[in-house]
Amino acid sequence: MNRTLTKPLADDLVRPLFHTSVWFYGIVLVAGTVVACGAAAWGYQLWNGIGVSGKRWPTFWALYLTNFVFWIGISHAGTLISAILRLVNAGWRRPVTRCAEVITVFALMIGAMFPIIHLGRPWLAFWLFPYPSAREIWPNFRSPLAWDFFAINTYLTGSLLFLFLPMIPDFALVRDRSTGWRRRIYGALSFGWRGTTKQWNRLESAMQIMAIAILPVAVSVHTIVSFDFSMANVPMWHSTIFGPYFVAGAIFSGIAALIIAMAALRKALSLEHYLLPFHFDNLGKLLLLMAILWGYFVFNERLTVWYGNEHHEM
Amino acid sequence: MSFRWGMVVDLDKCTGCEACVTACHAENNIPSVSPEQAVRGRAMHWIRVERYYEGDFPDVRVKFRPVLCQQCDNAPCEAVCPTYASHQNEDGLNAQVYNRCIGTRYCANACPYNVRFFNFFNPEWPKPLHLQLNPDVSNRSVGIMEKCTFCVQRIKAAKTAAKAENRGIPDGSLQPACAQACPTSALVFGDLNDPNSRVARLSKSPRGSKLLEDLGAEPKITYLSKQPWHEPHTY
Amino acid sequence: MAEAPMDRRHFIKLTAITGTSAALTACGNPENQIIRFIPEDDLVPGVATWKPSICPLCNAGCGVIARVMEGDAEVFRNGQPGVIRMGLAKKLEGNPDDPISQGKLCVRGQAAIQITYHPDRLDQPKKRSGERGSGQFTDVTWDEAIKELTAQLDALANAGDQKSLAFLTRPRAARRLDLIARLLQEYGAPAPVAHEMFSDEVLRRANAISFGSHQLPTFDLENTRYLLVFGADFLGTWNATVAHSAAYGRMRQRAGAARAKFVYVDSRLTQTGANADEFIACRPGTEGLLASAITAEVGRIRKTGTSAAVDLPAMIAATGVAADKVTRIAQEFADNLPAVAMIGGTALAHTNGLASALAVNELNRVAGSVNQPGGVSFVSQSPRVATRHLNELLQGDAPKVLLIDDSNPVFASPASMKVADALKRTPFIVSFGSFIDETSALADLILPDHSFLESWVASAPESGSAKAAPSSFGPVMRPLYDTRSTPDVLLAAFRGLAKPAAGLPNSFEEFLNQEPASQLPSPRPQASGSRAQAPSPRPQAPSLEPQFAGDATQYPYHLIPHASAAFYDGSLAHLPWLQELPDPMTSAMWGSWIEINERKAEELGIHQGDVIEVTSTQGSLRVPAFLSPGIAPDVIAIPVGQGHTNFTRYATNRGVNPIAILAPATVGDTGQLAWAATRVKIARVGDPDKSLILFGGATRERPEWAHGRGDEH
Ligand SMILES: Nc1nc2c(c(=O)[nH]1)N[C@H]1C(S)=C(S)[C@@H](COP(=O)(O)OP(=O)(O)OC[C@H]3O[C@@H](n4cnc5c(=O)[nH]c(N)nc54)[C@H](O)[C@@H]3O)O[C@H]1N2
Ligand code: SF4
Ligand code: SF4
Ligand code: SF4
Ligand code: SF4
Ligand code: SF4
Repeated sequence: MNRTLTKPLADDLVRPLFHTSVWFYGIVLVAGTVVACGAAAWGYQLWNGIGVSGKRWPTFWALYLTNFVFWIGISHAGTLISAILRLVNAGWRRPVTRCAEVITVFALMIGAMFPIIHLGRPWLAFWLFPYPSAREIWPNFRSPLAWDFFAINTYLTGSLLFLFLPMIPDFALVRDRSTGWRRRIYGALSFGWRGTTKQWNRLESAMQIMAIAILPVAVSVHTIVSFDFSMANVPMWHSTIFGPYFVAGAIFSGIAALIIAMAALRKALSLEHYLLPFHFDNLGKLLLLMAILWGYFVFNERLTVWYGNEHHEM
Repeated sequence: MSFRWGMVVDLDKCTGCEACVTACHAENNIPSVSPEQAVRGRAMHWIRVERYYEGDFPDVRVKFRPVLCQQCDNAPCEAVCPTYASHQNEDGLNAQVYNRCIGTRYCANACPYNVRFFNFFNPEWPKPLHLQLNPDVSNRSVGIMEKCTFCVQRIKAAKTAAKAENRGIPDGSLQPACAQACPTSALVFGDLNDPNSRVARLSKSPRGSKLLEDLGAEPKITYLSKQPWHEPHTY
Repeated sequence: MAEAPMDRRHFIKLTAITGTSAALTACGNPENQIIRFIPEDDLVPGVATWKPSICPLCNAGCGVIARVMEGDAEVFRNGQPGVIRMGLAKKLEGNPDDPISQGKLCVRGQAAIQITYHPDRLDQPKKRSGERGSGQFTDVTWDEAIKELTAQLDALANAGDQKSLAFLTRPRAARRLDLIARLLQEYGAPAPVAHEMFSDEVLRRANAISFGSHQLPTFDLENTRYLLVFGADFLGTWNATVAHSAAYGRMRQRAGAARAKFVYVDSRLTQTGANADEFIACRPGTEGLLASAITAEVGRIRKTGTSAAVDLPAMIAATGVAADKVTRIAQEFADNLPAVAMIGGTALAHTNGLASALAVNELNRVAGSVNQPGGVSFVSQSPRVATRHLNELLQGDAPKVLLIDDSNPVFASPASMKVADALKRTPFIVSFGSFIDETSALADLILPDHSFLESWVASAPESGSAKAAPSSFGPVMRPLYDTRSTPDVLLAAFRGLAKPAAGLPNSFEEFLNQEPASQLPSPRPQASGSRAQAPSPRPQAPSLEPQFAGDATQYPYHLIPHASAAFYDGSLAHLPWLQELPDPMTSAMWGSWIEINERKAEELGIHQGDVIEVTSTQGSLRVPAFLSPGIAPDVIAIPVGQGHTNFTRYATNRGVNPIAILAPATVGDTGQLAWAATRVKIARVGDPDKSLILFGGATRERPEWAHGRGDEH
């Protein structure tokens, strides 16, 4: 395996780190405005009460938790896909995985925000954390919301590691090409990487372990998210297929998100030489597969309800 | 002393008058939410009276059914509450600790009986309506779930008094506000642990059933069905 | 802290000083003793005290106990706001010692406490400063206000025109009315005018004719074996609902062969009717015909009937009830003695209401149920003071001074009666209301009364329990505001006259102590309160044929403006608990609705919540539709109570007032409004506009015939 990047390749990839275009500032501005609006809206909600969000009986959850599920689903783009591709040793994965893993981490952070925004009293959200309190009250480990808390945190930690580990050689690459404060930051991030065989071997086994470990975590996260619903007594929420249904949906939407992100990056950063049509082709096949699987689950959900003649579930 | 508070609702006696509904408001500081909020489905009634029309005019019948928290033994609302705000207390009550509630509204989704009510806004008591508030019952603020407590403040007071006087709580002497108010005495409250209490005896009635029994929530409220009238000579 | 009922009862016994135990001489009834309560101010913080009082909201006069606890109240004294620590009523419950309430209260009684703490209560006397009806008032002191009232009365007296003083109030049997009547009589003014939308005067009149008792009947529901009810919402809004419900609960307790049957006759399923074992739909206004037909049958079976020849088949045909059903009901009635028939509410509000009531009385007589266990009887009571009808006020010369206590005729009379115009012609109006409402807004002087919890209260129950006894109680709490008890204000004004009557008491409290009800001037001595006499042959029976206002082809529907479970006649629409109370039959809150038969609606293309225009000969209104299987296809119903134009923040401009479009038909020659005799037409004029607010809770399983059509509700 050739692990040395050719000089033009490395230059191409590192270029955006040294040259910031006005586009970047433009995008930061736009995104920043969106975030500021969101923060203001949240402030308004905190001040006036969660009622301003339009929730009511019987829709106690609605948009915030839909968003939560959506973003947690998107987060399955990365770690899960890249772990699968790594385990099946799909050679074409390389240009795809980094993008996928970054999506995971950010999507998770966005997703995890929503259950807090959705709380009636979000300033007490830390009660979900099992800290030793004077009252010796722990979170209720029977509640899927407590599982959510742990599952998301585990997945986030795992995904961060999964993202970070293979970036070490790349940080070293940037370190070697930069000067000043950049060099110091990337020096710290690259953990003294020198590219020795020993280091490569260790990294390789760490990634292999992570890939195996992260898979059940990813599956469990979305299964648990599905449990949030299926544990409640709301009609149409408690089909037994919710676990695989949600996971399939998550991977499906994750791949879609990945394709969109890759297409955008390819255009914006002129990576046409690296993100090739066949990458998109392969991801497309994967998307099709998940679409078929997900479609089957949708059908299946209706099927069992119809077969069982559960009219209130229809 | 160990208690297991329960209730029997005699549907044969319930006339749908809703005295219980207002009594519960008065006892438990339940706010009125305004028409603007009521139209959004945010009105709060810890006990409600459901009505079921059957048949067509003129052969039409109506059945009333008061529904309050069923104080489930195997309460779905408790399992899902991440903070134990909803939990089973030592008397078998489904207790709701307002201070501990962070407002996930999960319990309301889990409760099959739709008896949990959420404070979407801070309740308002335009002065001097606040003077009627029952000082024995804590007021709930925005973001908190609330529901029928079986008038736990009355239970606590009765237990304290009984303990101080070193006696039991005589059957019938302790009543939640709804049962106290019910003009037909359709609601019977008492200790299911005491086999001689009225509530314990009535809950074994062949007319008894539980709401949505197949869900397995094991409610502590038994509903006694309406009885038909027969020509006396057919007996 | 909540004490057990036993403790509470014990407590009341301890604190209530059993008064002079002066049995009322007229009745010689040992139960009739006056109970007095001396309020205690040594409250222990955090500990509840229960003090007795009387629910003022309807004629039943349920005994209540109020849970009083210490609290800090923002009060109003001598024109100054301040905070004082005092005993505050926290909750009302039925007084377990009271034979009427039997420890229970109805939904309205439970909410009565909000009257005292209402945010829009008037806190001191007001004098009109702008145009009549402009709603502009300035604050005046009590001294000024009473001086002004006295001056007006003196002016009338000086002009020898005492007859131009009129007093408008509710027809209540309470001692308050006794005092008012006495003051008017001694002053030389005509008897007080009594006005109430859902007045039971027709039934009293019928009972006077049939049984010699000008009062409402008391039913022994507990022991009856067969209960046949014509239109009386006796478990919801009619007469002593709490006493009825308590007895009904015990009636339902009996199982097996001892179980009573309850049959309900009406053109619409009321909350009461919903509890019946059998519902019999009859055409509006034909209740009396049906009762007569059943009477004839029962009389034939029991051989007790009068031999008056009646055209039975024709009568039955008019009611719309199948003939075999009538025979069966009559047979059951005769077979299951003691059986009792009851009439009230809508059935009395047709033009033939008096005849219908007489027919039901006759049924009870033929069944041998009068003054029998399980039947109907009349509690002994002191004579009621004579009152005049609102029409006398409107038709004669306008009074020069009009005093209005606890009455809102501007809201509670058809627009065609032009009450507001009559009031505008009256030079000086004094209202004793605690709130600005449609009527008090027209007053020149508002002298706000204490709330009942702040006053001496007295009641002399007219019916509800055979053990009913007069009682009076002192205030439960000190007043919040600079208000004064109306009887005391009246006494002050009349004692302050240039030529006051002799021997007037200083206060209402003194009046209650001083004078047993029996010593009052009784303008109707023949209506003695003793046991009902044997039925006298009735004079010239009025016609049983109902008449309706509005042509049947142009106005095809009967409008039933029924009493609302929450607001009764609308006088309680200002209480937020009751506004947000889901209506028992519809779960509707905070508004009005029109009840339409759901199949009829299907035919007319009307869906739940659609805006309907209802038009009578007198006017029209718009209201959302509620589709119900419990109403006849040619009948529509709108609850009374909403549609206030000026009645606190909670009731103003909410819903519609069906009274406004009623035709001024009267019940025979009684002068009472026949509020169920108006015909209307309906038209769908708009899509749902969110004014129909339903709490939910199922209203029905999806009907078979409606599968695949329309919305589920
Ligand atoms: N959270 C909190 N706890 C505290 C304190 C604090 O600041 N915060 N302060 C501490 C201090 S310094 C103190 S002194 C204690 C006080 O603690 P406690 O002594 O418990 O004080 P209180 O609650 O004021 O009053 C006790 C009871 O006495 C009743 N009482 C009033 N007058 C009489 C009377 O004449 N006779 C009888 N028999 N009873 C009467 C009252 O109604 C009340 O129920 O609390 C201590 N605990
Ligand atoms: S009825 Fe609902 S709120 Fe009450 S205990 Fe059962 S699940 Fe919980
Ligand atoms: S809303 Fe409150 S009581 Fe309900 S589950 Fe959430 S924290 Fe628990
Ligand atoms: S038991 Fe108490 S809290 Fe529960 S419904 Fe009845 S009055 Fe309300
Ligand atoms: S108070 Fe009693 S009779 Fe009335 S609705 Fe409630 S349970 Fe039924
Ligand atoms: S029936 Fe209801 S409104 Fe009438 S006096 Fe009794 S409690 Fe009050």
